[in-house]
Parts: sequence; C-alpha cells; structure tokens
Amino acid sequence: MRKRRRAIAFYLFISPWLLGFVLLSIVPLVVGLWMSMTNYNGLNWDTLSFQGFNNYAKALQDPEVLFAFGRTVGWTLINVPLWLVTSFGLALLMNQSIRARGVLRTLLYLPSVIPPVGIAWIWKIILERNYGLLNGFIDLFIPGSATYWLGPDHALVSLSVIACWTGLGSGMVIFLAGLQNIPAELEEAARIDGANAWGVFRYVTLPMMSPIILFQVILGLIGAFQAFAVPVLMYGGGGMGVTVTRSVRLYMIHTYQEIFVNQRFGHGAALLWLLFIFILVFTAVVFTTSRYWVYEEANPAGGA
Amino acid sequence: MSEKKLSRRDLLKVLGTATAASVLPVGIAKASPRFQTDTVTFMINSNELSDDEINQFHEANPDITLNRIDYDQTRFYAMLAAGTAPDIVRVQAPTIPQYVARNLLLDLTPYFEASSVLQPDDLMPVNDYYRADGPLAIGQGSRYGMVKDWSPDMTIWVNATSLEEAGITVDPTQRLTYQELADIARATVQKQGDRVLVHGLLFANAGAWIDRVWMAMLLEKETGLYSEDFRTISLRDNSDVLEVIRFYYDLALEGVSDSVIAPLSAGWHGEAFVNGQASCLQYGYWFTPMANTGEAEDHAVMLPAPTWADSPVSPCITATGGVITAGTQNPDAAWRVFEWYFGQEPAQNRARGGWGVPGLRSLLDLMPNETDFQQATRAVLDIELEHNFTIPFNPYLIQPEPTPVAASYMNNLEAALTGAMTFDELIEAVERESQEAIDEGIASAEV
Repeated sequence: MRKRRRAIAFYLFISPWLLGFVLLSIVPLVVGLWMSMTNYNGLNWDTLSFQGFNNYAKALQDPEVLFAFGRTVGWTLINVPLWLVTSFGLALLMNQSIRARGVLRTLLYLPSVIPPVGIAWIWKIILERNYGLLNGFIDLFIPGSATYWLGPDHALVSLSVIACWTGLGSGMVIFLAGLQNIPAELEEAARIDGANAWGVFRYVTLPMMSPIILFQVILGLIGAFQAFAVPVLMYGGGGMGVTVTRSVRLYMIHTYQEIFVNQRFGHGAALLWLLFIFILVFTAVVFTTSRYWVYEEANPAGGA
Repeated sequence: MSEKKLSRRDLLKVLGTATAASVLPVGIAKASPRFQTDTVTFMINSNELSDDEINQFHEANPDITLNRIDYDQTRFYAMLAAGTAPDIVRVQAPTIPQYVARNLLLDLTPYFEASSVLQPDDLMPVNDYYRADGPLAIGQGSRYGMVKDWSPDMTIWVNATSLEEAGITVDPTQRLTYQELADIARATVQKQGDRVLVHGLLFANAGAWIDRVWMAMLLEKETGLYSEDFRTISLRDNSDVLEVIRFYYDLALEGVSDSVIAPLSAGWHGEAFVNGQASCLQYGYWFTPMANTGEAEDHAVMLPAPTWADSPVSPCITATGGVITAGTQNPDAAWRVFEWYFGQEPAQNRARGGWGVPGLRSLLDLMPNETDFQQATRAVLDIELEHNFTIPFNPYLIQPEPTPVAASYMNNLEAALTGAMTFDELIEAVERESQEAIDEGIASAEV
C-alpha cells in the first residue's frame, strides 16, 4: 500500500513534466518523422503520398544541403572553441577579488538576456556599411574606406563575433559556478608543493573544471549546429532568409527556406531529422571521449 | 505481497470527477449569451481590423460573433489540414489560382449578385484577380473574393530635389521609358568610396516580389515567364524575359539598386526613401501617406509607371483582399462579415486613410484629396487606373512571397554579382530550380 502510494505520488509529481514532454517533444518528433516520409506542401493534405525515405535520400545528395552543412560545421568549429575560451577566460578574471566585481559580472551577462531581434538591431547599427558606427570610426583614420562587414568576405567573422558576444555572459556564469566549487585547499596544497599559477591552473583548475567544460561543449555544439535567428535577422531584406550571404548560409537557414519558401514540409522535416540524428551521434561521440579527459572524483577508472 | 486493485467505487469516483470537469467549462460557456450566435473566424492582421471596428460590428449584428485571429500562412495550412479553416482569410492575388486549383474557396457569385453593398458594377477592375473560370483562367468567371485596398504598384516615387541636384526635372504627367528611368537612377546615385549614400532606384520589395515585377513588365511585351498552361517556365529562350531581368540585374551590378553588394542602410525601401537615401522608388499609390515625410517632405513626386514602348501597363501586383473558405460552416454569416468589411465602415475608413485605392468605385471620392501633394498624386493615379491589368500568376507555385522563382533568383544573385557565376548561369539556375518547384506543384494540384 505504501509502495503504491509512493508510486502514485511520484507520477503525480512528475506528471506536469511528463505530459509536457510527451505532448511537446515526443508527439512533434513522431509527427515530424511521419511528415518527413510524405510530400506534404501545406495544401495537399487530402492527396498526400507516402515517400518512404526519398526525402532523406534527396537531402543527402542535394549540393545545397551539403554546402549548408559544410558551412554549419565550419561555423561550429570556429564559434564553439571561441566561445569556450573567451567565456572561461572571463570567468577566471571574474573569479578574482577585484573592485566592482558584481557590477562587472552583471554587465558582462547583459548581452545574454537581449532578445535576438534586439541583438540584430544593435549590431546592424554598428556594422552597417554606409552609415554604420564601425565604418564611421574607421573613416576617421582611413577616409573613404567602407568595409562591408556583413558581406560575403567578412560575414562569417562578424557573425561569429556577435555570437560570441551574445553567449559570453551565460558561458561565464556557468564556468564561474564551477570555479567557485573548486576546494581552496587543493590550490593551497598545489602551491605548497611548489606549483606556480600556471601549474595550479593546469593540474588543479582544469581537471576540476573538466565536467563543466564537457557540459559547455555539449551545449555549445548543440546551439551552434542549430544557429538560425541572428543570421536571418541581420539580413532582413527579402524575407525568409533569401538574402543571407552564402558564407553564413547555415543548415537551419536552408531548412527554413525549404519549408517556408519552397513549401517542402516533408523534405524540410527530413532535413530536421537528419540534423537531429547527427547531433545525437556527435554528442554521443563527445561523451565517449570524455573518459579520456574529464576528471570525475567518483570514477574508479579516473581514480582520485 | 499482493497489490490492491482499484475498487469499483474508486473507479466510479474518478470517472465521475473527470466527466464533471470536462463538462463544466462547456456548460459555463453555453450559459453565456454571446455563445448563442454564429461565430465567424476572420484571419487578418490586427492593424487591418481593429477591436473598435469589431465592437461596432457586434453592436449592429448581435447574432454573429466575429473572431479575429492574426494572419499566419503556416497556421492557415495547419487549420486547413485539421478541417478548421477560418471562414474568411486575408490573401494576396497570387494565391488565388492555387487555392482555386485545390477547391479551397467558396464561390461567392450568388452573394455578389444579390448584394446591395458589393454590387458587381461597383467593383473596380482589379477585383478580376478574384475571379476564376478554373485556375488557369483568372480574371473571368466566378467570384471568389475581392480586394481590400490596392495600388498600381509600378509607379515611381522620386525625390525631386535629388533629381534637381543632378540637373534632371520630370513632368508627372509624362510617362518615362524604362531606359530613361535607368538613366535617371544612374545619374542620381551618390557614392562615397565604397559606400552608397543614396541609391538611384529601389523597387518594390525586390527580394520577395522580383518575379511579380518581371511579370508586370512583361505584360506590356505581351509575354510572360510561363507557358500558356503554366507548366513550364521559360527564361533562357525568351529575349523579352532576359531583357526585363537584365534591367534590374544591371542596376544591382552597378550598385545603383540595392543588393548584396550595395546593401540598403534602412530597414526597408520606404524608410530609405523618406530618409533621403534613395532618389527613385518603385512603389504604388499606397505609399502616399508616408512618401512626403522625413527628408522627402515637400520633395516627393509620384510618376506614372514606366513603359517599354508606348503601350503602358500599370498593374497591381499584390491586390490584398479576402476570400471565404469552402469549408465554412456559416457561409451566410461569413458573407455578412465579408460584406461589412469590404463594403461598409471598415472599407470607408480605409479609403479615407489613403493607404490604398478602395475596391469599390463608389468609395473613390472618400480618398484624401485636399493638399496639393494629394491632388497631384491623385491626378497620376487617375491616369494609371486607365492602364490597370491583371497578371497571370502560376497556380502551381504555392508560396506567394517569395515564390520559389524569386527565392531562387535571390539565392543565386550573390554569386552572379560577385563574379562566381555568369548572368547566363544565374538564369539557368533560376529556371532549373523554378521548374522543379512547378513540377512539385503540378504533382500536388488537381488542375
């Protein structure tokens, strides 16, 4: 009886989450999978035809899909390490006893709470070619120059800077929490043994932070592979992302166009499922490698 | 240890509670007087149908509940699939052929013929966009809807001061040729090194509507992008089509019009014009309330649509309006809302606002015509109304803006403008990708 009551209580407590998970995650996934095997275009509900895995085969052979995927991998390889290094570095700085540390932390965190539309608006004012602030400043020193920061040659760098700036605060906060959980006696012991600052960082801080770094790597990878909103908003003309420059034509932007411009809902769903599977596999690989570089105190193999 | 099963009494308690809980909100709703009405769902934006107007309708029509929901195309598709499509939907003219092809619209011909508010003789010719004798014969036959407000969209707004600085004066009563327009645009573009401070010519939402612009220009040449049955798109083999596409392409290549290599500074073309960042802008009459503001105040002049060779056309390329869906459960109530919105107080309010030409001739006199600027613009509009024609939109292309044709052009344009692709390769790519979209549309349509 007590066991049954406990079971009922357990399911009652998790029922809001369970209901939400089933209705808002599982059901859409299943419907998306089904849609990915049809030729649904928004208006042919009554004449749908089953396509099997044709949409998947077409996607894997489509040069545009492969191009967008390549761009996204490049975007990820640039942005994730950049974000990790800069946010970790900031966290190390903000972990020091400096004046107005609280104010600085707040200011550094602010970009993370700005909505994507606001971010795009701010950076367009800065980076706009003809009347932008950055070119106006550069013009004071190099008159007549007007770099197209959002053009084909510089868009990847510009948008990477924006992405890093936006994510710095949230990354910093997570790393800061990890740094503050490192036992002070470990660092003291290292110093007593003769370690300098670099030695403390390498042999104490980094291993103790490795689980947090793993967490951030996973989050960063997932976010980078799904990057969409800010690139599209930065190129608002034409609508639906058709004017996004090719150098940042990311996978999700291509998928968005396939669905909302070309009305290929089935094909678009297949693209989304392919991305989902890829992220799952990639995440699993990262987790598998973690035993070689993530320190866990309770891990018999890692050994404390 | 044996597990205790749910007793019959407990089961009845649970079922009874669940049943009562599900019936309760329905009972409360049914008790409300407003619920004893026909509900008509109107999918339209909040800035096109205000809460005040809805309240006025309810006061005059207590037996109908008008439920407005925001326009969203994806939501519309989902509602269609679920069998709960809104009764009235805001649409643009390019969507009519595809909706007719899929039997999604209610034939309103009997309603129009019996109406004392929306009389067929009072309808402006632009309402022919909402007539169809099948999806391949738009402009004649049954009526499926009508225009909310519209403009001839190929007219040219110029900043007269910007032209004067380049030593150019224009007569608003004289129609420019496209070559003259291009020459003016090239003469008035202002650059500073790599910056484009003032674009010479911007045109109607060029990214999303470029194919409509081409089709409008091709009307005068009595040709089009598609074969007569709309199953084939032909760009490479039609010299008129190439000439039209080349017109705006060359201006983009030279940085006279905005593109990926000469981007717009403002958020949209209208803002650029009123900021003094464009000397010419191909927008319709609907831009009147905004055109003469900001840096363009006292300088804005509307010119007739350009011509290729003295047989001018001045079509509307959007013709935003409304239709009643075929699946409506309350066709008569929906028609009463439709009649009110398109012919009575809301239509009169829109006419007075000056943001477009009304769909009824009888409302033309309500349009703003007091100031010198309004009268000058109206004089040009009256000329353009004589050259209004409908564009034959493709029933196999589902997405209205941007169509796959426009999207393909915009996606490939950067490569062409930066030299990674020739113009011919651009045209080939657009033709190939557009044909693919048409073939998919053919497979899903019943035409």
